[in-house]
Amino acid sequence: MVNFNKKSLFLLWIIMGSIAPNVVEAQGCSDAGFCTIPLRPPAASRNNIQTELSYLRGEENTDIGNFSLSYARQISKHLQWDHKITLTYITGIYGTVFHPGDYYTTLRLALKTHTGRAVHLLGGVKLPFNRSNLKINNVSLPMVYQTSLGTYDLIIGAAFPIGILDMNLATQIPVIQKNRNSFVKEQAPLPGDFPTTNLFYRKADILWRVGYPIKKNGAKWNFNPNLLAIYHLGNDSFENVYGKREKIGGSSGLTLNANLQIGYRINQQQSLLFSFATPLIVRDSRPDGLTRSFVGSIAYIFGW
Amino acid sequence: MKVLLLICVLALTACTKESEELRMRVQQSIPVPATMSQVLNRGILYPTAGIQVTGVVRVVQLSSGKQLQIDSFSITPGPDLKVYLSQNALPGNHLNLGNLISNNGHQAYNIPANTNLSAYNYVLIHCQQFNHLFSYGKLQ
Repeated sequence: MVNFNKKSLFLLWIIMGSIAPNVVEAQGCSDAGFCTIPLRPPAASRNNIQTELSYLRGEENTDIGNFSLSYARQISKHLQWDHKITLTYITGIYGTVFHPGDYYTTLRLALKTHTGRAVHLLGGVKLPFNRSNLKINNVSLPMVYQTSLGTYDLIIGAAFPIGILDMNLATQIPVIQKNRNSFVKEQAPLPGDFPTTNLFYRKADILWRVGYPIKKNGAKWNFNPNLLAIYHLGNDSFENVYGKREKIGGSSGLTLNANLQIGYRINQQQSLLFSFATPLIVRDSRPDGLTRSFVGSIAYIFGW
Repeated sequence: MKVLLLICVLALTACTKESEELRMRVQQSIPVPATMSQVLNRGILYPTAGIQVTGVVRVVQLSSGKQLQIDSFSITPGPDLKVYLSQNALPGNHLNLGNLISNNGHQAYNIPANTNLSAYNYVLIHCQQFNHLFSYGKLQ
């Protein structure tokens, strides 16, 4: 952590300035969770409950509200076990979908290097509550209307400091592909730039976050402006109307997001976390429905 | 137990609601089975194990193109039923015509204009989500 000073505030102002006017549509996170799972413990308490409410602006004028509930328990001095479930509300031209998304369970190991710096390692899984084939009155819906990718994923990550910077590295690997989405563009009843995602098959992601934590000793507020890079390791694919698998060109590659996290400590037990993000660099094709032009969230954390 | 209870509560909260635009467009986009048409070939639908089905299928030529019609139809409900034209009695080399419109009654599916009909000898009703064939009928 570094002290609050004019230089820090200037950097914060630059990042905020770059976020505000950016309305480019791009991939946000690989789903509601991968990017927001904290690689560090939320607090020093033995038990922590976190509720988070997010607003996301999706593609083709969809509005997305995401609610998540997390529980973290300190099992030992070095080990923490986290659980998280998501519930998503999506509204747009097709109508409204309100459905559970995914369940995450992760183990977090806290270590110290020989120089005394804290390193956190994380490993866990993501289990979907549905197969990404939610429909409205028998109409197959594009991926942006799905509350889960329908994949069983392995999540591995690490958080460690380098100088004044905070580094997060993680990967999300779909191990079991149970996506049974059945949206076919040619058969869609409504217009829209939604690609065919029938029996969608998704590749893995690598995440790299570089943060610049700003905190004054004893202060209630802290800031973490950061850059979040997500590299999609290959082209996704779908099954066309002839039953043949087709790769989606341009669906691999880099997405770069600017993110500002603001924490406020209410007291020893309670805190708030605000987060705002928008994309800076995008992939050519983003068929997974995770295109976001803006993400804003507020989380309440209670520890005991 | 608490986790199961939570999952049940979450499942109960799930809901969907169609937009007015979707409701109107779906009504307009469902093909109307034409009565005055030239029948190119026809068949009878048969069930697979554990499924009940009755119905006749026919491919007809309309002035606007070809259409697959299903008549006198009833089938055991399934979660993600699709209508395929297929080269075999199993899915694999097929043409997906879309979601099954209804589990019963007279219905029609437009066939894409460039389809080589002679390559497709079967009509399949297939649950795509669980990869389970519900019904097949040979076109003759």
